This record gives sequence, C-alpha cells and structure tokens, in this order.
Amino acid sequence: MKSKRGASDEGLITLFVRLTLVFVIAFVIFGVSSFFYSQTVYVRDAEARILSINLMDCVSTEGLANLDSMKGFESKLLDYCGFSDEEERFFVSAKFYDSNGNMISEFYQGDSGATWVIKLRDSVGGDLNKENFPGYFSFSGPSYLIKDGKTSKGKIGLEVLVQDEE
Amino acid sequence: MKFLSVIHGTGFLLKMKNKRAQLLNSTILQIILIGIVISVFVIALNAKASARGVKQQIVEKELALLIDSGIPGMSFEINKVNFNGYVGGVSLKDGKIFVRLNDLKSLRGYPYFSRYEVSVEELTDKFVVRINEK
Repeated sequence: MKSKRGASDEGLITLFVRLTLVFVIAFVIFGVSSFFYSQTVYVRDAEARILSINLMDCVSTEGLANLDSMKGFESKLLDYCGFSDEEERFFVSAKFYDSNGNMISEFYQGDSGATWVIKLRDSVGGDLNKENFPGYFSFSGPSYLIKDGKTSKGKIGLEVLVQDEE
Repeated sequence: MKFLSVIHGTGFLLKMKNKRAQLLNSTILQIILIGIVISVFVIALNAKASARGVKQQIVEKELALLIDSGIPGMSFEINKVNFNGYVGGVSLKDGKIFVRLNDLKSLRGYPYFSRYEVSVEELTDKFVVRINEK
C-alpha cells in the first residue's frame, strides 16, 4: 500500500513539476516579448511647445504685455490664463525684462524643482534618452510692456516644463 | 498448480493493463493541461504583438495634442474605420481623453489642457471633437 501511495504521489509530483516548468518558461517568454513589443510614445516636448504658445498669446496679446492687469497672479500664471486644473504636471514661468535687460517682473506657477533635471541634461549633453526627462521648451522675444501705466520696450522670457502624466 | 499459475498470470496481466491505463490517463491529463497553458500564452502574446496598445496610445495622444492647440470654433473628426483600426469610442472625463481602439478599452487615458470647452459627439461613422468658448 505504501508503494502504491508512493507511486500515485510520484505521478502528481511529476505533473506539478512539469506544469511549473511550463508556466515559468511561458512567463519568461511573455515578459521578454512584452518588453520588446511595448513602446511608449512621448509627446511631452510637443506639449511644452504648445503650452508656451498659448501662454505667449495670453500674456502678450499682439505684442503688448499688460503687467498691471496681471497683479495678484505672480504665482498663478496658469490660473491667470484660464488653465485652472493643470498645476500638477506643469511648471511655467514668464519673466519680463526692460530694455536694459533687467528683470522687472516674474510670474510663475508649479514646482520649479524639476528644472534641475533639464540643467543636468544640458550640462551632460549627448544624445540622452528622452523618456527619462520631462518635456521642456523655453523662448524669449521682444515685447512692449505696460507697467504702472507706462508703455516701454522690453523682453519676455517664457519657460515651460511638462512632467510625466502619471 | 497449473490453475493457480493461470490465475496468477491473469492477475498479472490485469495489473499491467491497469498500470498502462493509469499511465495513459496521466499522460493525457498532462498534455491537456500543458496545452491549455500554451494556448493562453499564445493568445496573450498575440495581443501584445499586434501592438493594439501602441496604436491606441498614438490616437489618444494625437487627439490630446490637437485639443491642446485648438481654438474656439475648431472641430476634429475621427472616422470609426481608422488607419490605426476600428475606433469604438472617444470620451472625455476629468481633463483626460479616452479612446477605445480595436476593442481595447483605455484605462488611463491621456490628459489634455485647454482654456476652452471641449465636447465629443458620436455620429454614425465618426466622432467629432468640438472646441467652444466657455
């Protein structure tokens, strides 16, 4: 009887071992193929560029930036421009300079902490993998500025950073 | 003695047949179970290799970028019979766009940003995304 029990248990053990082996091999092949076939399309740079265009239209309408109307929104640039629910993914900054290059006003919103990643990437240089970095776009250009009721020539510097959507 | 040996021989043959039957049963059971595992694996691998997830991602992100850059008065049409496959559904929820492509439901969607009001309308053969003033 002991031999008979041993014989039947041996069959079950063999079955279990074979099934486990098949599972492991299938799992490994599936894991490798998932890694090979799955691709992520990154559009963060495009989003940064589009957002910067929208912000430029907002702060400098037809080349004229009215800093007096933006008072109170120094840390709420996105709210000022009507993007009310987008704070978490983005960091945006708009700096206004006079004709001598001195900064006279700054408006921003979001966490500026992630900009160090961009500075690090730029300092390292080379063809680094884009998926590891947030999307980024910066732009500067001339504009007329209205401050304290006075219009003068100046410059706007825009910076937009887009984090991962997760 | 001869009678006993015949009985013993017959018993032995029966035992051998039972053992062969058990072996056959066990083998068939193993083949069926391994076949089930391999067929599930092949089906899952086929879904991955057909890149449905990548195509869905492309459509979602293209639409998100179009909404991001849109101004009031613009509208975009997405044909249900699409280059990337059959678009079964386009919906907007909590600032994200969800696209169902080739029966693959979108779980996470992709966020868009817009200062304007965005809406989706389903027609017979297409979806229309409209951007209007708030």
